[in-house]
Amino acid sequence: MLELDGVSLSFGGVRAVNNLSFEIPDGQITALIGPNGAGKTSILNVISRFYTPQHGRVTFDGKDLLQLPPSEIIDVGIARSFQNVALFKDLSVVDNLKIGTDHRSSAGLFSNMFRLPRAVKHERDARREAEEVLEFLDIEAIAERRSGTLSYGHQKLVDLGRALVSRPKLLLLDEPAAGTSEGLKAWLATKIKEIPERFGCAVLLIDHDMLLVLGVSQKVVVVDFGSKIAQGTPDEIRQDRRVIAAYLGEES
Amino acid sequence: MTLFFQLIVSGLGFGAVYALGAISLTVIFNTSNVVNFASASLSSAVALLMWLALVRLHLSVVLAWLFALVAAMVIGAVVEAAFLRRVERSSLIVQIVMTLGLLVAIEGLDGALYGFNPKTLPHVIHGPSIAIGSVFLDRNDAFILGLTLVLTLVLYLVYQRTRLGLALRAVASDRDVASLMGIQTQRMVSLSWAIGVLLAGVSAILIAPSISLTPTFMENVAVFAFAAAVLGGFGSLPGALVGGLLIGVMSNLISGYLSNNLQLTFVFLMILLVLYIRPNGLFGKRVMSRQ
Repeated sequence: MLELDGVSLSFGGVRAVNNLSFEIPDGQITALIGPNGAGKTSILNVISRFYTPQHGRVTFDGKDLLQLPPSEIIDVGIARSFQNVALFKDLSVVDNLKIGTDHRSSAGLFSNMFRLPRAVKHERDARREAEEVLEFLDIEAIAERRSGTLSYGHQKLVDLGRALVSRPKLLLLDEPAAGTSEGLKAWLATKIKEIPERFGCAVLLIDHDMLLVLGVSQKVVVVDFGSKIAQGTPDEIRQDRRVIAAYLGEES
Repeated sequence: MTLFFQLIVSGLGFGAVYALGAISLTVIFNTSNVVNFASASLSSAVALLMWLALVRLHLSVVLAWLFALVAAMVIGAVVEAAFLRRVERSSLIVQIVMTLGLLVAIEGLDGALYGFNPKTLPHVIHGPSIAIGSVFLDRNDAFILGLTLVLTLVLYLVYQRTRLGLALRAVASDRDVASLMGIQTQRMVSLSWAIGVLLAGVSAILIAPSISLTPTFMENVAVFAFAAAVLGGFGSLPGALVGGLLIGVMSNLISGYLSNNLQLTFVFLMILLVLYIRPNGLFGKRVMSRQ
């Protein structure tokens, strides 16, 4: 579904991503792991078009993603959560989620202004879909709270919810569990596992929590210094000597 | 005591005009993050176009209003696209100089087109004052107040209850994230300038009959509108409305009891006092700096 082919990205003289190729299969959870500073978020930023690589190709369902501006990425079916949470702090939780559904509406802005039937229907659908996701993430109780006033853990969940509610074909999760409690982490792992089937999408998960990653993914890509050093199933990755040397060894 | 209440009631008309000006500044500031110092000249331009339509072209009142309102929205969108978009990523000082430059330039242009001699625009509503107990509310003031309340309510409902409003609020909250969510942020900024100049233009058309219409006649009004927006907590719609009405009433009380010349001084002294106690204004939730 998503394919990176020989992607290289440099900032000045610093090479953040080095001739990287991998594929994200449909309907599965693919994990991208590596030590801090390995270039994981840079790769995500290439896919969501914040960064344009100097070399290589990125295709999604056969479409050349590098031709698109960042604002159109959501329209082709790619949504993301953010490592540092990028919610609309002044808006309520449910409004944040409703914006996630916005790009799918065919009703124009001005028919909406006069609340024509189609727009009313959209409003109702958006509300319902937002509520479904809130229920999935078990945060219905905070639906009307201003998102800027929430705890960090809750903000991470709302950020994830907003990406989910856009019904993407590919969901990019940038450290969804970072900075949250151990309890929430374990719960989140079971939830992420359910996402492909429940929402019919593939997931690209970035994290450096090995337990979370190896527990939920079907495919793991390991990067270090911007290059791919291994790829395989979680079991294969656990055995890989280069991974253990580059990553697991230094973590433990 | 009757004088006291009478001064309050007759301050409401001007107060509503300040409120419209403050709401205009708020709508524009919220989406584009620009403090529109050109507001006075833009609203004067709309009032002069109204005069052109009504007095020179002899259009009917309805047509003249339609002409002026459409022109106001076009002016807002064009000024944003032609000038402010160029400096949207520039520093605050560049944006301030840009809007101040527009203020002077548009006033000069209008001076060249219409001349600086005062013109008169007829009152929208005529008729005897409305008695409320022992005090009287001027019929035109009542109209201005009513229209302002209706416009504010409509705007509030659009912001809170429609998808367009949600998109506008999202752009106001975080423009970069809004763009990531697929919202056409540029269009939202254009629209907010169109609405902003429309509201400022309406305020100018409403107040022009009570003072003389010149290319610079809104400058004094705009000072009070700025004060109203700050008093309400720059960025809050209900705050702008309440701030405008409060300032209209306060300045009328001051000119009634003290002196006309002290209006500005005392109004701003009171604002300083309010901001000393509540630095983010009466309805302000957050500090003004965002980045």
